[in-house]
Amino acid sequence: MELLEIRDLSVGYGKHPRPAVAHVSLQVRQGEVVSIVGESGSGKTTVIRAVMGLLPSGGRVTGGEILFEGSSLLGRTKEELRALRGSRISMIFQDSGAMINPIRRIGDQYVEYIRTHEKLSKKDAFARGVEMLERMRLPDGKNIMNSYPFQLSGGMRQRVGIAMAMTFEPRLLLADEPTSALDVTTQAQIVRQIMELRERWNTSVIIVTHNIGVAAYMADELLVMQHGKVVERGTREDVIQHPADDYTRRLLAAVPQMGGKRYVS
Amino acid sequence: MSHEPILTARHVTKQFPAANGRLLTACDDVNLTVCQGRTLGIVGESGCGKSTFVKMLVGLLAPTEGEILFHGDDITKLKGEALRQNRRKIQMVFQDAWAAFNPKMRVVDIVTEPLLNFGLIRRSERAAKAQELLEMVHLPKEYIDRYPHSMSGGQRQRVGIARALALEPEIIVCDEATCALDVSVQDRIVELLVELQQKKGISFVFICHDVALVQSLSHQMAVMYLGNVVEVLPGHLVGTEALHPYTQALIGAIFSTRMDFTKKIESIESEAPSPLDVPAGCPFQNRCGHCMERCRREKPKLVEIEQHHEVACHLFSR
Repeated sequence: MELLEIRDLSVGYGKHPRPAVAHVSLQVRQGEVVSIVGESGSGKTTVIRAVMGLLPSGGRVTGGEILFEGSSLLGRTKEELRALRGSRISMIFQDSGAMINPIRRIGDQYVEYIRTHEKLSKKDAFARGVEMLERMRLPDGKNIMNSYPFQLSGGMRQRVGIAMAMTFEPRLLLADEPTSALDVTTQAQIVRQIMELRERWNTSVIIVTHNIGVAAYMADELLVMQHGKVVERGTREDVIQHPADDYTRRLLAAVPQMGGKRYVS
Repeated sequence: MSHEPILTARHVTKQFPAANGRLLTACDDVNLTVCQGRTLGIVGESGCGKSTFVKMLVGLLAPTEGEILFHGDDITKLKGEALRQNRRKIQMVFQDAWAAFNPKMRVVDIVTEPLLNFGLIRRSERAAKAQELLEMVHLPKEYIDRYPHSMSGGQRQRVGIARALALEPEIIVCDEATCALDVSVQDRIVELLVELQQKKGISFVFICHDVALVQSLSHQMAVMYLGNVVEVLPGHLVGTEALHPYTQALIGAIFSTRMDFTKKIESIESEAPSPLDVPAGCPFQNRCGHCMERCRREKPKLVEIEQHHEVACHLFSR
């Protein structure tokens, strides 16, 4: 059985006539990584936000179905979704620093988060946080728990975000441009870290990114979106080496490559 | 066409005062040359000093030490009207065109403001001049009446380029000018820059953190790390001849659609130290796989390995 199945999903914003996402279907099996690439406005982020039940105001699912572990996510109440989010399904964002309250210490927020999902004393929750941070290769977890977000580098904040997202060993991790704000060497570290989650916990991942190289590297299945529609899908070898769609071909041609297209002689 | 050096930075150092009486060295003894009608690419990660360096080139910051020679004259010593006149020759395009424009100004006012500032056109000539500038960057003439918010990111960046072109500068500095754009839009903007270079002989300084992009558009590429230039080499040789371990690490961290997807990513661990505590010796020592005892003691100098190829690394010093 698929862990997540999206069937014919359409999402619209406000009274806008053109749907942001139109008739998108995808399946994710346990332990599988699905990458969605596309340029801004292609609807890639809207897809995973719909799964999370976190569409921005004015956004609503206008058609289709989202099944998680066989049952629909769409009809659930806010409380049911809230219990699911952060435990069975979690999400990491482009800048995990921005989702953390800047005037509270990392530890305070981490403890609060753990205690909303599990009955633990503050001390135990703190210890749990430290343990997760250290598992994510953040040295001296205790020190990080006592830091404010601005005291950490972008790469460290992203690791904190991943550590928090993985606290309850979710079955599904949704990653929205998780490396786009990072330097290239840090990006490589974070990509490797996300891939290790699958090895360790068999976590399924949907990653949304405009970086086609990152998407392809991580993907078991790769989807290319444009104007709210999936224009191409397949294994990364299929999509990268034998793109069938014209848009995919243009997109691939525009990616700067070492030894590729030169603009000057 | 000859490619004479027109702008030369010599021993340029920039330090900023930091808390507790310490000094942050953003650029440390940088020597780089911009040649007429060519593109100098500068690549490096955040905090490497590349933006600080180009701000000194355009006169937005003054170096702590060193000189910047433009046609032989040190522009860091310019003051008053001479400084103002010099700005005409070196213009800048910013990363975020959205933030670089006054949102209440129309395109016609944005692109002709520099010309009015220097008294080069009359107000009555604005519309015609703006249309001419938009044509150069392949935007429809009707766009002169638009506001920045009613254009796409790529179109806004074209307006930014049009504004930089208005004063017919000799050098245009692009600070991450395409990084906020989608790849297909980036591709078209870079083609536009190259076209302008070929038509008008403009020199470009192009900074970006994407080494694959920078090497593809640079005649000469410089790699910066913690305020130091660690390697300089021709763009077309970056893929095959780059020597410095940090340049190698940058190339190794690229996720390419042509890579072998089964291979483990070789990324360097850890992060760059704070520019407040740059270690003695080689700045890259704590992340380098080839670090020797000498690297901790003595800072390597940038030396010429071959013509147009310089490296600052003890592995290659003779």
